[in-house]
Amino acid sequence: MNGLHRRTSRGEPLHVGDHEVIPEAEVWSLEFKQAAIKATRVAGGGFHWSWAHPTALIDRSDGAERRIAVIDWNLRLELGLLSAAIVLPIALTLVTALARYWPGRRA
Amino acid sequence: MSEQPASHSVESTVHRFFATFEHAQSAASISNVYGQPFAHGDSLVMPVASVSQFFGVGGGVGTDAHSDRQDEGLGGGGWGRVTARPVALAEITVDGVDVHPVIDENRALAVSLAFAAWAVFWTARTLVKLFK
Repeated sequence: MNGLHRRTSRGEPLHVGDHEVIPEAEVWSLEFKQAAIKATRVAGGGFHWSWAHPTALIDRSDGAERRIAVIDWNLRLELGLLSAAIVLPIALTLVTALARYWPGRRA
Repeated sequence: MSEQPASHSVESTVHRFFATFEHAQSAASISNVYGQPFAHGDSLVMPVASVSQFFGVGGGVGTDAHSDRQDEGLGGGGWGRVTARPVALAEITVDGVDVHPVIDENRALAVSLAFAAWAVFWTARTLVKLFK
């Protein structure tokens, strides 16, 4: 199906002692495909992108359920630095603009 | 010239075209994120990864029905890439579950250095503008 989709799925449970552990993952996908079909010829094209990443491990034991998040620290670091890299020039440009109008400074 | 009827060729091409996308959808599944667990002492260890894939395809097939020679043409191309990055190791014991993150130090260092260079550039630019 064309478009952006997100789905969360759970895998086969693992059993160790009293613990039942169920892996959980999230899958993002973006797809576009198109085909032109005629009686004697067909032409088409498209692309597909998907990203599957872990979200949590569900630990069930003694009737209780515990959700242990699986954090992608590499991704967090990269996104954090990317955000900082975007914010930094904006902040410094604002500082420069404000300093230009600071009392006592030549405009 | 193909021995297959043109309609069969067109039908199989369409079928293969859409099957490629269906296969890609099913390939992006949880079984690729969580690897096969293996025993380590009294515990089970399961590798956890982040998997992404991209591909693009295009092509066409057909016959020139108006031609005397009934020429059949077929052409196409594509490109794809699959990457998997380790995220963590999950250790499952009788006491519970421990998740040990896997840090890609080389990548973290490269990204940090790139950011440091960017920050130094903008700081220097700002200081030059303020004090010139």
